[in-house]
Amino acid sequence: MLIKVKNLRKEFSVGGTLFQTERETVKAVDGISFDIKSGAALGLVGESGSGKTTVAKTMLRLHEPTSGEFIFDEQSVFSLLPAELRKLRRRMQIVHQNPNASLHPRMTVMAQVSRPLKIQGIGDKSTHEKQVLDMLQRVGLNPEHARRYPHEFSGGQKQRISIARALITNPEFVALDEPTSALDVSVQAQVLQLLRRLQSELNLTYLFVSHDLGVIRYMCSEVAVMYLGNLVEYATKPKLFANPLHPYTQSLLSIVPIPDPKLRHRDRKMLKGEIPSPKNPPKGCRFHTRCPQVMEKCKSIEPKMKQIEEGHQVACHLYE
Amino acid sequence: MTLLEIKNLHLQFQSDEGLALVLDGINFDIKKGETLGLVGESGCGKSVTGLSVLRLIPTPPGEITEGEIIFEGENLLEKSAKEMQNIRGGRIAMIFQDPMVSLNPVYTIGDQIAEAIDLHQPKGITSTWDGVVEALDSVQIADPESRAHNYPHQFSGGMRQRGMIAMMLSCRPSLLIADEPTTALDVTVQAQVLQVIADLQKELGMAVILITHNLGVVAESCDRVAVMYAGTIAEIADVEKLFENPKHPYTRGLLGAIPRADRDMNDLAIIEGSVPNHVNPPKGCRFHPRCKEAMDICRIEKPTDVDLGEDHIVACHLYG
Repeated sequence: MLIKVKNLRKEFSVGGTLFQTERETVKAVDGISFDIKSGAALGLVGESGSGKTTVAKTMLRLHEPTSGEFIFDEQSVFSLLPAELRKLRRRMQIVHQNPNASLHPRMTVMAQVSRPLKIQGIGDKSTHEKQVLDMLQRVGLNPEHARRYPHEFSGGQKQRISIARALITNPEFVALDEPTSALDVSVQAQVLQLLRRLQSELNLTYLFVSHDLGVIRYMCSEVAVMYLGNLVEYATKPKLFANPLHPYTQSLLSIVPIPDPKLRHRDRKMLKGEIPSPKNPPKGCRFHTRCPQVMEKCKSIEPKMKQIEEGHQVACHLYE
Repeated sequence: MTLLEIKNLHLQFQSDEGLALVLDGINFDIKKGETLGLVGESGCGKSVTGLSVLRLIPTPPGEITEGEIIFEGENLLEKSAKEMQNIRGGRIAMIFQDPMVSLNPVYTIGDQIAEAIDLHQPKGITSTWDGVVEALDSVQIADPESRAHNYPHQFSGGMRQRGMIAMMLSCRPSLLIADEPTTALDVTVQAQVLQVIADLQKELGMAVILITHNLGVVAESCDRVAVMYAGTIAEIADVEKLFENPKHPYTRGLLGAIPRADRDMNDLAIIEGSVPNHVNPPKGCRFHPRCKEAMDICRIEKPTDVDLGEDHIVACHLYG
């Protein structure tokens, strides 16, 4: 296992302002565990507010974790000192959702893609240029793009620049946070295809965060479903899509719009209401307020993750 | 019976870079009670088509230079500002992607719906407030009596969009233009909102133009589909025909580019390049630089609409 995450927790403190004087704790990620094999892609899927982006950012210590462990290639990332962490960062990178926010508007492509090399002290100026040009080519951009600024590019090209910057230090692990959510479907297909090709060429390990089950199915070998800071189901891709066990996963898979009008009249497991606020999550199973199969104990006892068969775990009282 | 007919509509915008022809002669119609999907990628002109129908294009910089918009037998382009005010929200209603922008934050939801009812005085409503409560009830807002006194910020995202729908439908329009109504919503809430629109449509017998980039949503909710590309309509057909037997190379590419949640896909169809700029669009067929089947004629001549029979219309030289 290249990646082992154990009981990861991340709480944010909100409030303490003029308008909201009381401080509250939001448990954005509330004790989740998973592993990713070298060269594999784990999909983290969930609705807004489920905590999926926080997982990715906390693993890379862009947020400091509240508790838990992240073992990367046998090193405990959360106990590293800043200098050690910086050294490790070349091996773990992230691509954010919105390239307009993550690219620097006043830096040329050459300057921003070569920046991680400078910070990491890899090579010198003469080698950087060649490395950047090679990387641009790898992600489907031209060498002459290197002198341009982000505003001169389309959304898809900007995301290619972000990918080039993430891969320039030759990382083993890349967290992809909704990398195609802002893109049109034809451009999304180009970028997804690129990410798959890069994964196999460079033997990359991905954590792929997305709300789109179609994208997850195309990109990932394992899938973890999040709801309000918890993992509710965690399985290999074939098992999750063929035999979803958690009522939440079952509902998601039944209502995701399918581009085939012949499937219009299939059975749908509609959910009532919306995802509750993580400031004040329901007691017991956090999904119980919307669950069509809710039982009495779901309202008070939190279900534990349980292995149903090899490669399939679920946290639900229906399977106890 | 035809409710709305758009004939040869040309819309241009004056921009810093020059004159942009954002609608280049589009034709389509919509029958009473029908749902037409207007689908395409960003910049294809689907939203401005909706805005043109309601004469909401800011002039200048925008200008409709040619064409007709015939609604219930009358050309909307010949109506006075006052007549249009009665039509907007009365016989034709529109909802937008982000309800937080469309709702006024300092008035209660109930007051805002009441304003619409008072303005248009729809038949069959005993009192304004009864109309408000009935409208909220029809979009499945629980406890509509007290919820009507809430402000928009007290509603969740899905409730706000349902509140908007309630306001728009309180005057029983014969046409609803819904511009990406579920794009900002999570998949579980999207399913609820689409269901509400479909139920009310059946009840009121109104027609719906559903503007969306999501072909899954189109497949689930529309009777007919118009696929737009760079200010033109590439193809119009019944939803089943369009998904089963797409004719235009762009439609085929788009359908193959969607990663599906209901089946494993080895490869996605790739449409190279990105959407062209409106100021200097490609000559001939606007899709030709990205088309794998482009012929010499495509570079010179704009394709005309070809009727393949049974209301399947395609604008492509392959069929001319």
